[in-house]
Amino acid sequence: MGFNDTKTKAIKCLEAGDYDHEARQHIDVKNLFACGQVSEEDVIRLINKTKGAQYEKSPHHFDKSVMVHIFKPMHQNATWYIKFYFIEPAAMFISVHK
Amino acid sequence: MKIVKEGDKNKAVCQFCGLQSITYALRDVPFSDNNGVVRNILAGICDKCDNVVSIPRQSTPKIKAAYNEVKRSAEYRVPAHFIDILSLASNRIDDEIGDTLSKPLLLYYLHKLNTGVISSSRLKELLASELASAPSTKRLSLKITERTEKELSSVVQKSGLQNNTDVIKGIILKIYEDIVQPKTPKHIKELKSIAATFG
Repeated sequence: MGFNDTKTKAIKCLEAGDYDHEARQHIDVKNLFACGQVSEEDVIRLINKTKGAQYEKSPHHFDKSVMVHIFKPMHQNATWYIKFYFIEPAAMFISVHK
Repeated sequence: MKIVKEGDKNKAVCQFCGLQSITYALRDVPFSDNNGVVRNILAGICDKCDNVVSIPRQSTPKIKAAYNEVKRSAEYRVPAHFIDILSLASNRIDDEIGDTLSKPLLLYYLHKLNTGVISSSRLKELLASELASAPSTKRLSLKITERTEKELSSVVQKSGLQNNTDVIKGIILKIYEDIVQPKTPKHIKELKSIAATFG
């Protein structure tokens, strides 16, 4: 899946509310999305802002068969990190932070 | 919006077991900084090791409420006489409950600055004054909410100051100017009403 398809799919999952937040035995306070400090609309805006050069993907640390997507858009002089993977047909957001 | 029920199944990557099937069940889930727990929310539980692996979207409002309620410790290094200023100001407002008012007084001023009732440009001037020129040898510790952190950040931006500590120091100097120094403290009616709520 290329950058544009990944973007479109992530946004669709957010719009449909079809996602979970990853929680490694606890809720990470740095994950502003999981803690309700940024909204779905905020995350969609950030994803829309992301350019191709601000995207990377790599295998999940705990399971190499799962590809983790990372968007790093710039917004208000800060670099944001949006990390997630897909568990078809939904998304699992690992973290959204700056 | 997709809603999950207790007993529903899904898949997720568990940090111990890799990609696994999970079952949604009610759990108490702590925050990573050990500062609070979100009680009795639906969480995705690894079917292999029984650990919390995910939180469904629908649990976010409860997490947000718990997160916003949690107070986090903040420490600010200030000159020793700044602590005395807070103490003096608190006692001027209400000498029966005295120092109990120190934190509410700081938050009162912070809110007035954030909403523009008090001009934040004065803080910079006060920090350049002679009263501000002393080494910051004491620690002022406060437990503050996320909301207060946001107000602090907002005042940092509006005032052009460098950081939260400078805002706190500026506020204390403003408290000296308004409450300790004058014959009749400013805002005294409002502050006495606030003091009365401490019973």
